[in-house]
Amino acid sequence: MTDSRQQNPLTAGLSETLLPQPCTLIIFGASGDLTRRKLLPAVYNQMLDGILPANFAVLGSSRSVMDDQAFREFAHEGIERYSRQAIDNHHWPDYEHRLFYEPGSLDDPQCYERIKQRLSEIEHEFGIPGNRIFYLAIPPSLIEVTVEQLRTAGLIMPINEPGPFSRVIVEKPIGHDLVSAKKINETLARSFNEEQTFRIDHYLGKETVQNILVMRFGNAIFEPLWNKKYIDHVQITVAEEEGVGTRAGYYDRAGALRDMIQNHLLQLLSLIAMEPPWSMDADVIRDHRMDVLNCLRPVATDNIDQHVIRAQYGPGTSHGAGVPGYRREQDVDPESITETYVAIRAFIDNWRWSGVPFYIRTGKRLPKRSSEIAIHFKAVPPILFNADTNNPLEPNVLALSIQPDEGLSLRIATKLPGPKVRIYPVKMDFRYGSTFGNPSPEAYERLLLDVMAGDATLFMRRDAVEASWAWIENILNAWKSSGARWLPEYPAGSWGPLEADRLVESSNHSWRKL
Amino acid sequence: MSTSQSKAPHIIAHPPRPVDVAAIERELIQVWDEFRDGANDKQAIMRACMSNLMIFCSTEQQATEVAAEIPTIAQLHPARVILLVKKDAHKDAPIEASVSAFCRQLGSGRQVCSEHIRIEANDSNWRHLSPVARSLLIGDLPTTLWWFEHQPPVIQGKLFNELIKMADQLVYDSIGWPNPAEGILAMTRWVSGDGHTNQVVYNLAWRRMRPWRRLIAEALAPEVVPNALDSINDITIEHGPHALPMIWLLIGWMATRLGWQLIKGKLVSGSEISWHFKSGSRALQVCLHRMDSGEPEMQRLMIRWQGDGAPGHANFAKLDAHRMGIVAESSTIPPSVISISHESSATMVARQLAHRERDPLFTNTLEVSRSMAEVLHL
Ligand SMILES: NC(=O)c1ccc[n+]([C@@H]2O[C@H](COP(=O)([O-])OP(=O)(O)OC[C@H]3O[C@@H](n4cnc5c(N)ncnc54)[C@H](OP(=O)(O)O)[C@@H]3O)[C@@H](O)[C@H]2O)c1
Repeated sequence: MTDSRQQNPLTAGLSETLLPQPCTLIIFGASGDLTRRKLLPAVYNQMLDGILPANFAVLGSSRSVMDDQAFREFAHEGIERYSRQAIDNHHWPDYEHRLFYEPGSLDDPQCYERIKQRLSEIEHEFGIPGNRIFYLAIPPSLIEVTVEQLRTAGLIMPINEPGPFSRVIVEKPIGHDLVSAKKINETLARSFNEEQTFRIDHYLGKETVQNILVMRFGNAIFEPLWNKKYIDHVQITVAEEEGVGTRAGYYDRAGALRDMIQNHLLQLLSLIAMEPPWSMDADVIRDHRMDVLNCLRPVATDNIDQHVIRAQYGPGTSHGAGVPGYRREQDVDPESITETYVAIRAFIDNWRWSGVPFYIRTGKRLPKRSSEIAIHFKAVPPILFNADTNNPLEPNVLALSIQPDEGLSLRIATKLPGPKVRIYPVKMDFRYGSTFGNPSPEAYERLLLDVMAGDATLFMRRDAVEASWAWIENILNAWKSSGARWLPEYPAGSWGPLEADRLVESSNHSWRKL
Repeated sequence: MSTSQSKAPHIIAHPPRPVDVAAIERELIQVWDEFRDGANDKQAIMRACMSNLMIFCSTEQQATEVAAEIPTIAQLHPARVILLVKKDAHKDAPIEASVSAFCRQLGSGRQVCSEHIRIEANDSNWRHLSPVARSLLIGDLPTTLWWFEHQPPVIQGKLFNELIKMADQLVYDSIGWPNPAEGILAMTRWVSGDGHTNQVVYNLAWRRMRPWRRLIAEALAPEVVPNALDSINDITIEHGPHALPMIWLLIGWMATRLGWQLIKGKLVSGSEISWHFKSGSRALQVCLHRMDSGEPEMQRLMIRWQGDGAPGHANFAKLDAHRMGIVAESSTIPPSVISISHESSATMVARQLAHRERDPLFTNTLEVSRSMAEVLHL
């Protein structure tokens, strides 16, 4: 594939990152929730910020019958509700002018012929040199048919030939288990090379997550401590306040392990635990993340309850009002044993992390929406200020907060003013939003731009997706063979089941209060 | 409704307090204490500081103008701001100083973001400005000198030389320079001279041209219009008053990146300049027309090319206050539009403070700009 940036002498030095290239974004699933809440607002914000390529258009498609105008109104409504920046009437006409829609069913070959025709008109009108990004914002069951049809219709450019590029973006979930994930990956690989395939995990687009690498490898003070000698344990939490909401149909078949751990939490784990990469090249970073997944100790299935806790929320409170338990939610099987909470004690069997527990937990209907990674350092020796065994000093904790506020904090011991030595833990806080004033772009904005620029660093590679499925499949199999008919419950609005507390207490630890 | 539309944070400014130069640091501590005592929840006050920013102005009016912009800088890049004013008045009085602070209100408390120190000198005591500034710089942090005066910094001679020695970066704005050619010559000499160290040099006029550079680069990209960039033979630009130094940089940039060699230049009239370049055997001409009124910006840029195939042309124009693009009627390529995000000088400076490296593209552009000034024999 030729890269236009190399041929164009005027693009040198224009941007600190790779420049997005002129292209058309083709969204399949254009009438859906993801398009309305995330994708169309992301493109709108990029345009307002002046970072969208000048030669750019969006072509949406799904079965809902709409014309271009109706799609533009659909976009307006989504942006009005969900965009980071409000609708600006000066810019709106330029934005909507780039939006097009072609109705059709993904299993209908005629639909692709019409899309082909529309694309050639759009590309001509906007001076787009045939570069195409296919965003599959559709149910995973449709990926195969869509990719096959795209290929048959001749809409995909091969990567090894000079000329315009074709890239595909796939959303989570990639599969339901290892076999189905491999099947999706094979389907994609028949039509797209790995370089053309961008598997989104929007957590990787968040500022703090990207800052993990800078913090670890851009500061001399952290990395020497980043190992089993100084770190006691690590806690990774992704807490959701909401219940299953309107996603019950999907969620009841998936559960928290598939929905959150397999992708977001294992990606966070691999970033926090990876070895120093020797370059920022996408594949170097991804190789190093992959190494962590390769070293994850398979969870022993004979005594799985000592390593993995699953539970379901029962009735309780949320946002100050009573809420039903999971089994009473709309569209949820009343006998469901789908977990809405998971806590795992994991180990990474390599030189750096041998013996350090990584506690990961995620759940729905927890007291608040909060995601963070907390590094708990070892305690100082039990002498001097830490000699009182009834009153031990609280060890240092470095917490990287991912949402709702992005930032980091460090807990240190300090002397309270006065003649007597009294020690008190102080939290030093650094929040992105408050320090740098301007709001960070949304993860989808950053990630879409990376796809336009062809930078895959923040996307999941095929081997990583399959390795994480392989790791959790062990747990899924053990659960399946347990024949459980019910799961422990935790009240909605609490921090999870007692079993999860016991999981960490058995190693003399406790969950952080968020 | 779940919306994430951003709200402007609430900035609390401590009113400026006149102070003796020797008591500045003491007075600032006092200011923070007052912030803390005023905070309802008695939360610890945090002071965030990423840079020292010295700002130089030469009139009271400039000082008032820039002081109003300091909260914007504080919000984007917490810094200790030292405003140095050299007034044109002659009076035998000591240097005057005042201090204030900006505190951004957060949900759970307050955070002091920035301190603002103002030092005023006059004809008789301006020599003390740089030693006072030196004593106020926070060690361990990068220092930027923002030259707010509408003259090339080198014209201030000794004072500039003393201030720049303390800085890692110089920010200036060539828009509005009374004599652009002279200014460009003076600044390029200084940038490439032996006398100074390796400061980052940044011209806000260069930053303002970025959307234009992007639009030209994308619209004439080889995969969009094959051969256009290799066969440009004529460029005509219309610009408003005071925008010449900025346009100069744009032409310098194109010449650097597209490998044009300068042949000659001519001041055609008080409002018109032309340059002739060549690239291989191809000759090309650039004409600049200054309009009598309007904003100090580029208004229209017509690029013509004569490739192997059909000749082509593109009319790039500022469409309105918010957009620029290619005008379909007078172009042979498809129209396109990009948004212009209006950034104040303070916002541009605040963003630039975090940059710690020289922009080689700007330095190369400056070199060509210097040749373009020299051939005019002014
Ligand atoms: N929503 C999110 O925040 C989110 C977050 C992460 C990942 N995801 C993933 O993103 C994908 C889309 O999610 P979503 O929430 O947007 O789902 P959704 O609201 O159910 O939208 C699905 C889209 O697919 C279209 N579609 C379904 N069957 C079709 C067919 N046979 N032919 C053509 N179009 C068809 C639907 O349009 P018509 O009914 O009009 O045909 C609709 O536009 C899913 O894989 C989901 O797991 C979503």
